[in-house]
Amino acid sequence: MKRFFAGDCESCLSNCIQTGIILSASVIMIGMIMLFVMGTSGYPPNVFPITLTQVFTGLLALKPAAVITTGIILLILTPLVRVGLSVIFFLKEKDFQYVLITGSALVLLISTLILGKMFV
Amino acid sequence: MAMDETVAYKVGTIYPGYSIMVIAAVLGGLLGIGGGAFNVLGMNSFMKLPMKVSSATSAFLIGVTTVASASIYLLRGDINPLVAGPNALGVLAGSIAGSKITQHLNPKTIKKIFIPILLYSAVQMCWKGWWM
Repeated sequence: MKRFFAGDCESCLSNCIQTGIILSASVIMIGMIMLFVMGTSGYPPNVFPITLTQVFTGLLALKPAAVITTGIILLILTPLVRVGLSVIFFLKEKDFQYVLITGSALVLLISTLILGKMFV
Repeated sequence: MAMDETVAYKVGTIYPGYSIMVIAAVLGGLLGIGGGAFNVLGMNSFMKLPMKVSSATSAFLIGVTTVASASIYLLRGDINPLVAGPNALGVLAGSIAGSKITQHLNPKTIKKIFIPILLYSAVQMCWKGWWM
């Protein structure tokens, strides 16, 4: 049962998720406040930034829709980072069965990212 | 089965659990319902896990597994930030509150809360399937 109660790693992973959530929630909140203050999303109606470059340039131009999308991207990336970290922790503990399980989960998640981009 | 108590449990029937999870994931991805309802059902009834363990595992798993479909929707430009932003904030606040509340609830109460939610999504799916 030791692997389930490995104190340090667990609290580090929990902190990772909580930091990601607080970060993304505050970015989304800032974007929404900007939306209400500026009264426009920064884009024409029914148009919003899609590609990473569009989001990034929109973010630099302080367009509310791009700020909200950045928050959503942070929210989606949080679990991905968490899985990546757990692979590292299991490697440190030399628990190779769990390295295999979390590693394959990470490979699957990243491959859907790439495949989703390819088959648009 | 009470609060502030360590409940011993065994994980039963892993392989039927696998197949239930595959079905749950396909349906969840298709309908955009998160699949959490199926997850809890599969873990609680087929893998014989206690209710709180199933709901906690399901909540945790969904965060990780939804990335697979969420990233595809995001990259295809199917997510409108003006709709998703307020939704995300509401869901975050609700899920934080829910995970705090569940620690003080009886497993039976959680099941009773769960029944109307399952019924609602079942009725809604029937409605969408046949009349819309």
